[in-house]
Amino acid sequence: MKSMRLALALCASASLSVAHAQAPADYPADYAAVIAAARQEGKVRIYAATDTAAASPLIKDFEALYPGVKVEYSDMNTTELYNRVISEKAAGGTSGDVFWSSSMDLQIKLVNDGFALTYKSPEVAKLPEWAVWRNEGYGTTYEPIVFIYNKRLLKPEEVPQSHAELAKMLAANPERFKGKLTSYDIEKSGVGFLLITQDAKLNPAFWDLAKAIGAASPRFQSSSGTMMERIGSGENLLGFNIIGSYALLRAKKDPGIGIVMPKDYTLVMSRIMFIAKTAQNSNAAKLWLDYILSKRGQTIIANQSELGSIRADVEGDLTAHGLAKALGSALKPIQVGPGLLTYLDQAKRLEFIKQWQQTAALRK
Amino acid sequence: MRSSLRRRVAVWLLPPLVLLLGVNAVLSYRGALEAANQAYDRSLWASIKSIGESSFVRNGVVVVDMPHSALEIFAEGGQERVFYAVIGPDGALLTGYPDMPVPPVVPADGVVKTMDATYKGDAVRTGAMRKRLYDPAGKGDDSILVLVAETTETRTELARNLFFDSLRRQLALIALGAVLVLVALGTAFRPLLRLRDTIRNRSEEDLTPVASEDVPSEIRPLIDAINHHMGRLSAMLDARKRFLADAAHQLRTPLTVLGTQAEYGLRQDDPAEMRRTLKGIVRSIGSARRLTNQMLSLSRAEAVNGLIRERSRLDFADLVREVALELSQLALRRQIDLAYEGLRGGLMVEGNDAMLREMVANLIDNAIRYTPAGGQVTVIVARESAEAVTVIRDSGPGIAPDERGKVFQRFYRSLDQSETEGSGLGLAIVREICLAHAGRVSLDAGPAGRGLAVTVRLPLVKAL
Repeated sequence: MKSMRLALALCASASLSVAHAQAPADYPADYAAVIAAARQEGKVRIYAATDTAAASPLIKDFEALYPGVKVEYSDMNTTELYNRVISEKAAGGTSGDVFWSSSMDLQIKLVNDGFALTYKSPEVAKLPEWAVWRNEGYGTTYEPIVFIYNKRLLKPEEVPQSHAELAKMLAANPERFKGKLTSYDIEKSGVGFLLITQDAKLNPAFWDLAKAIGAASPRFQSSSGTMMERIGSGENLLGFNIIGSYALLRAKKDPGIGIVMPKDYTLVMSRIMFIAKTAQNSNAAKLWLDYILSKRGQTIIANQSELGSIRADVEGDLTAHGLAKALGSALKPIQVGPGLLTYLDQAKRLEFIKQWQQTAALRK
Repeated sequence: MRSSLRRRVAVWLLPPLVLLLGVNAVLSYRGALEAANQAYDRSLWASIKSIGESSFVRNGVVVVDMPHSALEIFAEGGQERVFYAVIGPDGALLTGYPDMPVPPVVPADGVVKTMDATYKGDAVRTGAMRKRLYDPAGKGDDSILVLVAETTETRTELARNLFFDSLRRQLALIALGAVLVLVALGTAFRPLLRLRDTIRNRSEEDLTPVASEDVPSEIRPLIDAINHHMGRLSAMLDARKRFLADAAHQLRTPLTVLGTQAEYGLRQDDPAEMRRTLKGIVRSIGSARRLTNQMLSLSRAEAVNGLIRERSRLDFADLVREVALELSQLALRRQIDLAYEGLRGGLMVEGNDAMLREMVANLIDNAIRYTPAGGQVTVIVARESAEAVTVIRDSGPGIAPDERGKVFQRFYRSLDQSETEGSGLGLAIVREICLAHAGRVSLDAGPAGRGLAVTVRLPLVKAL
């Protein structure tokens, strides 16, 4: 199945690359000028907190679609990206043209602080309303936040199907899960902090859950890779607040890992992309953004990058469309907007981390 | 030229309308901006209030627990960038963005003050509120300052949309108004233009009244005034024509007489007879001169009739007495007893002194001339209610009742008086002057049915 899809995509890109100069049919008439200017610029520099592995099919397809526009892709972690954007802007030297990160709050902070170029993508009508802010910050992926568990050690009927069940299970068997629970270290991981604060905002019983988690002496990690590794090995039994796209990719390689999308609510995060206000290759940057949001780009995101498509008109399991069928209103996308600034507030952040440590952190 | 009236009204009406539009536009824009601010300031207030409510003192430290809604409220229907700050009692930034603009005056507690400002080069609308924390350990001032600002793109756009909407409507209204004004001007001035054409196309001789049936009521008084004036013009013109004809006719008589006398004189050889003839000629010339003088007087009297400019307040009793005195010489020569009876002054009338003298002199002169020697002329001046009444009575032959109406016509002379030297203009002059002074003149028989009594009544000046 997978190989056939790939072949089809290659086929499509091959046929399209012939007609490379053509702007998509429903794009504005002057889009050809943007393409021409982008070709003059010759490249687009992307700073991203997304694995090169996930991005490379997109880069290949983009370069095939717009020959003459090369993608310079720099992969870094979210905090590094944020700091680099700010320091390079302050220094006034060369910087990235497009910034793409899973740390939604930091991205929004950059947009709010005036780092983004206002550009209304022709694809904007195809995106959900919550995914676009100011025509500057665009949500580009659709990634559910899931539980993962060790299939061998946890019986199917034991696996919690919701946050409430997780809290109940932990409270019922504190000894069994002692030291077997894992999640992000919210002090070290920006994404972990973002997700846990969204939980706190969304779930009225959050602090009860936190207490139950705390009672199980959880093991917090700064990266999802370590968490999945330990669950695969059986060192940990269950992990929560795992990014679904990573989990799915892992589960494909490691059949011992099971995935649950919580039925009460499943957070959905979306990698935010924006064009730098001071972009040197702003036309190429526009092409890239539009490509990522286009049906063609989103099809690759869903089927090759495994990041989940945000477009309703892209079919597949890992798309907004497919997930909505399975989970309905339990899907809670994190809104791309100024609300994300709340937990970036210095005082708020310290206050929250303090409370979280006191309630949920490891007790000796 | 044809549409100048219309153009005048249009010039006076349309630029002020455009000016009004301009004023209105400025006001609309301000109103729109205010409306937009009013609508969007609510988010600022709500945000600031919720931050204020989530700030408190714990163990002597100010804690700001940013509520999620404080910033998320701006996501609802808005696309604005948001900045906030909480500043402690000591002026240090507790959390949020540094160096936010602060309104110059922030009320004491719990009141949100909003203003326009710039932050990091962007136009923002900023709100500020002081919030007291009632810290038991606090020393005096324990209030924090909460600041929230958002960029103004949405507001400006809303205001601009509102403004352009109203401007479009106003322009449409003005255009419609202009069309209406032009149409109305066309209709309103049509009767006036028609009237103008009517008058312009009249023949020079035509002095008949202008038809005033279908003219607007505002113009009717003007038409009436024109018609009145034309009526007077036409009457005067008629009188002039008649006068000219009569005068020519009258002058022919003495000229014929003079001609006959001169021919008679030429045929005479006797110097004495020639001398007598010459005397006769001189008398005839004197008579003709008197006639022409009187014609001049009449012409003057008629000309000023109704429009005597030089009027003054004068004592009519004195005037009559003075004239009688002047004529007493003539009376003496003719052996006529001229008597003056009545008031010595105190009859004030308003009128033209020269004209009134002419009138009185004519009456007394007539009486003296038509009264045979040894007769009597009496001049009586009296006051009768609000009138000065002057009666000149003589013991002459009088005028038959059926002739009394005709003697006021020019050049009329009683048949049986034809041998008396007279022009037939005297009473016509009297009548004209009398009418010019709003008076009346009437003829009666003298006492005991003999002689003539001429009565002139003039209105007295109203007592002050």
